[in-house]
Amino acid sequence: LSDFDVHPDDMDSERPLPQLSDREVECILDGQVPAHRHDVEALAGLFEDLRATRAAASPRPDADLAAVFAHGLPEDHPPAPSWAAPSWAARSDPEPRRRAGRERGRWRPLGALVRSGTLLGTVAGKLMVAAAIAAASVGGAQVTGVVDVPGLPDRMRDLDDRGERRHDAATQASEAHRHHHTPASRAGEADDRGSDGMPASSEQPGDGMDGGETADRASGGAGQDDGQKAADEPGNAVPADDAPVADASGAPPADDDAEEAPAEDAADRAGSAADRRNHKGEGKAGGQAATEAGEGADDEATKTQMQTPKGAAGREDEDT
Amino acid sequence: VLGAAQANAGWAFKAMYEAFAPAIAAYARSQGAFDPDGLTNEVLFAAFRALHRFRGDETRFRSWLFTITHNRVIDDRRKRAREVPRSSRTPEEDVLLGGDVEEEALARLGDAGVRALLDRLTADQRNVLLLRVVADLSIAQVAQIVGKPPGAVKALQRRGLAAVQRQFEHEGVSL
Repeated sequence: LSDFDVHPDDMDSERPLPQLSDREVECILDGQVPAHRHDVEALAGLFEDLRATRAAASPRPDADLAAVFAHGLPEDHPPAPSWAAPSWAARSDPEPRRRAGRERGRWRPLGALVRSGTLLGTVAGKLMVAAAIAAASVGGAQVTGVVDVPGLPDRMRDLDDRGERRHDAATQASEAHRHHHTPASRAGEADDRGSDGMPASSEQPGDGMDGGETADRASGGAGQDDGQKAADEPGNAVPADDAPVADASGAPPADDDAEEAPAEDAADRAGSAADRRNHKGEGKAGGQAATEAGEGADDEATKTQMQTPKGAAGREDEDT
Repeated sequence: VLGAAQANAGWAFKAMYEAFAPAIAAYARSQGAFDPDGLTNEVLFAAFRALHRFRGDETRFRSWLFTITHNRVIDDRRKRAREVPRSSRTPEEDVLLGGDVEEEALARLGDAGVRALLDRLTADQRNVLLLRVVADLSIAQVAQIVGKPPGAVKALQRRGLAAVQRQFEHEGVSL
C-alpha cells in the first residue's frame, strides 16, 4: 500500500495515457502490434478479434430479400424509410440541390421578412429605424411650421410667397381691366353709394376681425360664407383682389334690382375667388386671411376711386 | 454490380448482400442490437429500395450503407430504451431461430468479452472505433457518418484506445 493507503491499481486513471502516434493507432486498429510497443499487444489483439467478427456467419436473407434476389425490386414497392436516406447522400446529388434552390427562391419574400427581422434585431438596424423616424418627424414639423429648422426648405414661406405673387398679378390685371371698362366702374361706384351711401374706400380699414368682416363685404367675401353675403349686398360688388371678376360682370347700377342675376353671379364668383385665395393661405386662420383680404380691398378701393374717372352719378353726388 | 443493382438486376442485389451483410451484422451485434440479423436484412432491403437515389462509386456506397446502418442502430437503441426490457432468448428460441446453436453460443461468449470492454467507452468513442474497425471505413468517412470533424474523430479513437488500454491494465482482461 502506498502512503495514502490506496493500491497502485486503483490509481490507473491518474497515470499518463500511453502516447501513440497516428501510425501506431492505425496499426492497432488493423490488429497489428506496432514495433517496440509490446505494451499495447492486448489492445491490438482485441481489435483483431473485433475485425474477425466481420467474417462471422452471414445472416440469412428474409423472404422479401429472397424475392428481390429472384425477381428484382417490384415496380410498386413502397418508398424507403426516412432513416434509409442519409442527408449527405442527397447532398451528393446535384438535382436535389437545384430543386432546393428553386424552393428557396419560392420562399424569397419570407426570407426577406426574416432578413428584415434579423436586421431589426441588431443595434445598427434599430439605429437606422430610429434615425428614419426622427428625420420624418423633423421634416413633418418643419412642413407644418411647428418648428423652424435652418437649412430645410420652408414650405409655408414658399406658399406665402407664391400667394403674394399671385395676388400682385391679380391686382395688376384688375387695374388694367378697370381702365378698359370705365362704365362698369362707374356703375360700381354708383352701386356703392346706393347700398350704404358711402364709397367703399370710405369704410373703416380692416384692423383685425372686424376689419376682416368689413373686408369681406368690400371684397365680395373672403370669409366662410362671404359669397352669399356679397350676393345679399350687391353694392359691395367692387372687389379688391379679384376685381376683374366683379368688374367684368358689368354690375348694374345700384337700385333694388341689384339682386339680379349678373350681380349675383359676380358676387358668387368673387366669393369663390376669395375662397380659393383663402384656401391657398394654408395654415393661416380664416380671420387673418380675411383681414389681409380686407386690407387689400381697402387699398384697391382707394386706388379705384383715385384712378377711375368719376362718372355722371359721382359728379351729381359731389354736387349734392 | 452497383450499376446493375440500380438497373434492378436481382443477381446484383444478391452479390451486394453477400458482400456487405456480414459486416453490417457484425456492426449491429457489436453495438448491442437486439436482433442483428433482422436489422441487417431490414437495412439492406431499405438500401436497395433507396438505391435509385444514390450517386457515387462503390467506396461511397459502403459509406452510405453504414450511414443507414448507424441510423438504424440508433433507432433500435432508442426504441428499446422506451420499451419494457425483454428477457433474453431461451435456448429453445435459439433452436427455433435456426443455425448452429453451439457455434453461436461460442461466438456470443467471445463477443461478450469484447462488448464488455466496448460498453465502458462513451457512445462516441464506441461508434468511432466500431466504424473504423468493423465497417472498415476511413477517418473521413467516419467523420461524415457521425457528423464530426476528422480531427474530432481522431481524438475520439485515440481516447477510446487509451480507455480500453487502461481497462486491460486495471482488470487484466484476457481475450
